[in-house]
Amino acid sequence: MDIGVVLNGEARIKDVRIIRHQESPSYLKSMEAFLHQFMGKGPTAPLELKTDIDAITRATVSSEAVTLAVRQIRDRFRRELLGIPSSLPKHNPTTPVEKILLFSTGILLLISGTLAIIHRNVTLRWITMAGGFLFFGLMTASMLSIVQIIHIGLGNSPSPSVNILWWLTLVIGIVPTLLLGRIYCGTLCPFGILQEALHKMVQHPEKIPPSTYRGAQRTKVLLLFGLTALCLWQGSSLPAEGMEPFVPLFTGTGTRIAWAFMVMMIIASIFYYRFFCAHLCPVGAMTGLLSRFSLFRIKPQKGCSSCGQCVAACPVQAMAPGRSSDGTDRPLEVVVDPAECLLCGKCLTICPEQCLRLSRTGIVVQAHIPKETGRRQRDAAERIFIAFLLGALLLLGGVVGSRIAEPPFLTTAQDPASAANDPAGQRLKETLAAAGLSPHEARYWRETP
Amino acid sequence: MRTVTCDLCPRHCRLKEGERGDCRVRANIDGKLYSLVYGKACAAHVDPIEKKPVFHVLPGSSSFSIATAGCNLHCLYCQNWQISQRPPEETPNIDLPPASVVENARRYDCRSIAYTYTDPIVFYEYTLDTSRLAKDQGLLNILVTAGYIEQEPLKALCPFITAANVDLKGMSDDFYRRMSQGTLTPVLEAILTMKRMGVHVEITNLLVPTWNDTDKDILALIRWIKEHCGSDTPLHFSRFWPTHELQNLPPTPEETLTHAWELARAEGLSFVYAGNMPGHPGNNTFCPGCGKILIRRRGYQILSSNLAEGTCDACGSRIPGIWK
Repeated sequence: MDIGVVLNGEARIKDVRIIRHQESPSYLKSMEAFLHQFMGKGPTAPLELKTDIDAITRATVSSEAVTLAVRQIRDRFRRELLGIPSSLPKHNPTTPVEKILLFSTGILLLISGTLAIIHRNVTLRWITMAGGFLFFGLMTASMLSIVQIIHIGLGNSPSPSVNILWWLTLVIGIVPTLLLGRIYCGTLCPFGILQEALHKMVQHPEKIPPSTYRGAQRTKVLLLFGLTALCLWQGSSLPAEGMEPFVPLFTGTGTRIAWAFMVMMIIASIFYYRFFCAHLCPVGAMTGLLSRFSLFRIKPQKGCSSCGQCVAACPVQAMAPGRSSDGTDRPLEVVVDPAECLLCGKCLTICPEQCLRLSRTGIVVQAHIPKETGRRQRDAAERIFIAFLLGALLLLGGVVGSRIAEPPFLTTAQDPASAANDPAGQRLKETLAAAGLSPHEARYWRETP
Repeated sequence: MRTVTCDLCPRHCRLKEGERGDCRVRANIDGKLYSLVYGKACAAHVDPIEKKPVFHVLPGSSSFSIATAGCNLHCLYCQNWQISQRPPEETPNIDLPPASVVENARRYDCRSIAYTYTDPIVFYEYTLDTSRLAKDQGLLNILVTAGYIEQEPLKALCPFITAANVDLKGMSDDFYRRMSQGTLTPVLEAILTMKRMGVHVEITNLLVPTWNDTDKDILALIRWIKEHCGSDTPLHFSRFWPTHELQNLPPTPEETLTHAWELARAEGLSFVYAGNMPGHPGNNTFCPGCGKILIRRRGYQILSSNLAEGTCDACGSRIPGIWK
């Protein structure tokens, strides 16, 4: 059977029709209602059986095939028109062996990353990161994304048989976060790995003062809630699609402004450690929120000499001096903010007492960050940092804005969704006028009460 | 919000404002029913009258043939689905008011105007006004229709119609429902009404493999015609060709067509034809009196005629039809 799909300029499906077939008429009849379901589906609709499409009774296989075909066509057009990558993985494993291989690779990487932290092994961490870059980045191009969270919110999660990688990244991204903290962000996310590797290349500017830096880190939380709320309100993941820089980088698909944002994030990461992870990544904000409930986290144990080297070494300023409440009189201890800690392990290796550990227990400390008083002179590094952040937000506004703005071409005058709000009579008159048809009063009719 | 009911055809579509009927060309605009295709022809051609097919009216003459978009049936085998199953805004239309139709028919030396291709029932007002004008000016009017129309509008139209070719698609209601989303009874009634009102009626039956090609189907059709319309009613068996939504079927085999043709002759029908198959003996008109070939045809083409003013020049039998 050959099908034809009509899409408008915003990759919304206007019609699906059978062009050629070898089926019986009764079968075609049952097909009509099925195909009708596709009308008006937008560029980010899941187009999946049981989610937003009902299969034809006793013809599940054909329904699946048609749905998949329509989805592939829609995805191709939305890539061309809107720069949104395919909703289907490059290669979806089908055999059980492949699936097991895929999951075990992910879990293996997770275990080796965890071991690297526990054993303070820097080499093992970089090996794991190389593996993560290859596996999640180059090979499968599947990373935990805000879009997944929004799809769950919209009740659109795909079936594992259609997109098992979607579930793999979700499980690998979320479950360990509840156990250990942001280990996915720190060791497995390919874009984070790339940023960290780039950051190693150059001499770094002065540390950004904590008040500015900590403030900047809040941005990603705002982005997370802002984008999620916007998408849920619009009932579509469209505004959030392709805003994350790893999407154009690893899928090769994005609008020009999304590519520009990606390049800017790469440049920023050379100067500022994981600039995107620390300040802008909505997934990072989410794992940050989840890691507040994590079972294990980095905690100072007995024996801390309050030397403060870990606080100085933390590249994301997740550590702060604190005041001990263990009854002893020591003025300085450290407290780790699990929401920002990327489990990079720098503090663990630098601690002369080796008393920082991934643990359930530790000395309870209250953060004590001295308040700044009066106006402070900002230095060049801080000014450039703020400029980067504002510039990034501007570009990001462009990426998200371009999604909500007018479609690239063609109007939506005939769009089923917008047509629904139109009075039918007016619409008919417009159609007839456009076609140059002038109605002539008919015979043989009566008014019906 | 005023609702109207269209009483033109047996569907009796109830339409809210802005809605169109099943035919896609009649709509409720501001609480009144309008025809959307009056004077808007989507097809206008000069055809041999044999193409309709009408074999007993002015053989060899041209017929100015018009159609508009839309149809009140939805046959799976429709040959003209590109216009019949489309709303008028999706077909290329030309402005051709009734006066222009008549004028054009004269200009192209047509002796008749044929309302055809889709179904003239759905452009009823256009057909009615044009045929009235044409009759005044001495032209004949040929209706090529499936006959799915209500009695009252049909009776109002018949006085202007010279001849009709009615497509009697099958002899069971079930067939009509499955093939055309229609029903049988109104078609039979329409044929009888036309006959009664003096319209020369020829009947066409398209033989579709596996759908209506058994002896039982064919005999039911032949016997109904013989009993209700008379054995001198011309009957055209037509060859099906795979199209539209029935591309899964083969064309009608020649044997089936020949068999049906022979069956009808054996049952006593005088004028039986086999169409859509040039060269078949069933293209010809045979004299019921002496069996001689009266009009020899190949497809739509007349090869020779042995008719003199509607009578066989050999035995003098009168042949029903309009011959001059």
